[in-house]
Amino acid sequence: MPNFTIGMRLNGGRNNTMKLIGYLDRKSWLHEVNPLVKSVGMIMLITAAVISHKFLTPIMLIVFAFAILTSASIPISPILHFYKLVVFFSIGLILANFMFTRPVSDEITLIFKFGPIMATAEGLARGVRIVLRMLAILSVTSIFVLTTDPMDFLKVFAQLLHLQPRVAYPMLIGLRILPIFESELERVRLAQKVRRVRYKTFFHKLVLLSVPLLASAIRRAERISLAMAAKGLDTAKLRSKKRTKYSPEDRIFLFLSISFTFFLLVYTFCSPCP
Amino acid sequence: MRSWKLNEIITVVVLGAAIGILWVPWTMFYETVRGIFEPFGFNKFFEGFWCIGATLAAFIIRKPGIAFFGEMVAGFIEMFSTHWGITSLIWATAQGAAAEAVFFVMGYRRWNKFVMFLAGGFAGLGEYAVEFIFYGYAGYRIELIISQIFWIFVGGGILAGLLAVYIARELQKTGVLDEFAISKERR
Repeated sequence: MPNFTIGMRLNGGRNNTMKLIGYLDRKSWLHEVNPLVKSVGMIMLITAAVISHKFLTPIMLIVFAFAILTSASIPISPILHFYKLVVFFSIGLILANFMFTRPVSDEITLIFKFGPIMATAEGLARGVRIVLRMLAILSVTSIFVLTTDPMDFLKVFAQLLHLQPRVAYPMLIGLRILPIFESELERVRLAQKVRRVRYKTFFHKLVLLSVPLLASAIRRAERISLAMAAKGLDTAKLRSKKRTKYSPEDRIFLFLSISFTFFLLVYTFCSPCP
Repeated sequence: MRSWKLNEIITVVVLGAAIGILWVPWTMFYETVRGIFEPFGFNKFFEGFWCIGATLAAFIIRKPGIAFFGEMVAGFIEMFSTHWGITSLIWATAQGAAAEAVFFVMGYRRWNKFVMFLAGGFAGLGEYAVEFIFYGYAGYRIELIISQIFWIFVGGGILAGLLAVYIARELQKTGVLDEFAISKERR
């Protein structure tokens, strides 16, 4: 199994089947790309996926994303695992489109009609297309999520927006503190289990789990802010600005994403294919 | 940003991180519910919980900009832990801005349940606006669109607005909020 640093276990670490996607700590050319360049590329590709109404666009995007990930020898198995989940949970989305799509023209292939429900083949096709689009966006964003160190992203972001140290540093702390909270949530859950807490309703459970977690979070915040104030970060000014350097990898990534976005847009608006 | 104290900034960030953690199991829960309720638009009710990052922080600290900042922090944490990826920042921007707009209109002075309901509801509507483009809802029949808008407003109002009030009051009982604006209000 690959080593996920911030990947989270959902069912309390009892087994590893339900794991969401997270940063993969490796060395590859994608890891070298500046997070800012990477996010610009992502946004362009996602925009192309959202604008396009063709069947083949999401499929091409998926192939593109997998090709890029494979070129950096990053395993695509966590994404494929996710695919299964998304497809399974998309049944409702497909059904919604199947039964409630507004007919665009008079030429519709009616499958059945029941009260206000009007199921058409066009609606079904639309549903499948939207699920494909979701899968495409998922694969494109996972290039970013798998290969970007959150700390690096934050540093670049803070520099770009000229955030003051007193705003930027707490964000770094927020990331650092994540694993602690993860284990704390598990501790709260186990403690309530030991005391045989009965959750009356779903909301009751939500409140009983979140209040202890948030209370300890705020207590921790107080200590952190004292430590930061003691180090003088409260009144510190942004003194030196580091010039962001762009590497050859940045140029390659930017070139690839711009040209592919351009290709997709040309395909969407100028091609007779579906 | 100048009126924020260091203590408050860190509290918002830490709250955002904790909420970001809560959103991970919530994502799984939501994806399960979605399969059943999507054809009726009722799944939008559960999407309201994603707006609580804005409302809870703002209700505790009560200063301009906190709602937006809180939601952005939570979205940022979520970005690296669920499959929404960088798109979660887009959603967070819309939700945070919508909630902030409600507090701005109210002049950051009124903090009752009604205002919180409105803030949560409008944050939900902001979220819906992004989804409308993202998932191409424009192609749906008008009945489903109305049902979705209704449920996301109610869901945002209850799961983000009123739940935030309830959680904040519960937190207040533990005494951790003593030095924040929420404890200085006249009861």
